[in-house]
Amino acid sequence: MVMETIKLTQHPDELLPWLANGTLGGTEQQEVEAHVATCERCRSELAWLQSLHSSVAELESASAPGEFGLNRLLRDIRRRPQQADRRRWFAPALAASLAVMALQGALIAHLWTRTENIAPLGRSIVDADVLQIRFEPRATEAGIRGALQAIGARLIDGPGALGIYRVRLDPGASGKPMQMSQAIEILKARPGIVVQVIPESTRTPSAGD
Amino acid sequence: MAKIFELPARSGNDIVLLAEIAGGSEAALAEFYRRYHARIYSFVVRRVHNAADAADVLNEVMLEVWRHAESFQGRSQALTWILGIAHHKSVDCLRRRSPHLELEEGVEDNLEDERDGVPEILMQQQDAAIMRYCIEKLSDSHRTVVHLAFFQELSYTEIAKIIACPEGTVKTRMYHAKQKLKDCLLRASAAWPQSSNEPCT
Repeated sequence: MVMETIKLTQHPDELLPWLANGTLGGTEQQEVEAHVATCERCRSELAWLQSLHSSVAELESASAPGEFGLNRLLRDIRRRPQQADRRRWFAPALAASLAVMALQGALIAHLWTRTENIAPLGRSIVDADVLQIRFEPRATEAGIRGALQAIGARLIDGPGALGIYRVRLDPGASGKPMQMSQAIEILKARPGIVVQVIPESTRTPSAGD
Repeated sequence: MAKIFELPARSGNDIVLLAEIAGGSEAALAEFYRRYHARIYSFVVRRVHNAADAADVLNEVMLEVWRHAESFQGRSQALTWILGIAHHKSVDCLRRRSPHLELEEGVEDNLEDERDGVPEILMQQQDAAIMRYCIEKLSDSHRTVVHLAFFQELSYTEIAKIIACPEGTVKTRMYHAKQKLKDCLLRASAAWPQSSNEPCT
């Protein structure tokens, strides 16, 4: 991570909240703490942010569903036995590879950079009539529904960790789904609804988290 | 200040746990649920403002974990990954609830950003009802950043991943959120006696 050099003549207002919640580190922490030590205005601001931190901690606790929610979850997944079958042959190799990655992850600092291009989610089965779409955060449900109706598609999965939805092009009156390229052009013509869209069958590296 | 959630270094355990979930282990899923469900629920209920909907979203989040555990590649903390799922599921829930309503973004203009420092009255102990009222008055995007920073105790880098925006946007939203909170707390503190529990109209 590129550390910003903080000019001590400026007040580091944008970094004080992260000092207050204990997540500021490295050079940023050192420089902000050095500034706070000499600035009464920022000491007051930091004290207020720390009291805000305590207040939020007390106010935001909520009664989660607990074991009741877990029972519901387990009941729902047991209704989908076909997914369990797919996992059994998949598990041993995956567990081994992820264990290696866990060791690597503990030794190497990874930098996550936000990419403007989405890549197909890693899936063991890809469908030729499926698109992966990321919608504008402010897109309405009505707008999304209209976009999907325009291409004769329906939601089949999502949103996942990256906010990506999977939609399937259904057969139209002709008995065939709309051509993928035509569907993509129609969706791209709705910039207020769709951020990005790619066919799921595109062969590129997977992007999980 | 004591951490709200005392989590030992679990990143390796979470990776192994998710690998077991990907392999179809219900026991691993139950362990993962017990480990994270309270934090996820707290995040979601603040977004959707409804306990029943929040429970539904929590269930959808955990189902997503069950279906796509193999997609977690360990490049971030498991909590960051699952809160990202929760963020998008919450947005989806709010969309379905109000089909024609655009989700509000934090309005960054027309703010009294000229206010500098912390007025003396705000340094006093704040009434919990007033604080709750002012936090609830924040926009969804501002309230989300405040919750993730001060309840989930996440860094701005982690928050940027969860809500899928640049780190600078996270810092800016936090800046404006705290300015709005100060404004609200000042007005509310003047309007309500500290002993009163009646909300502002």
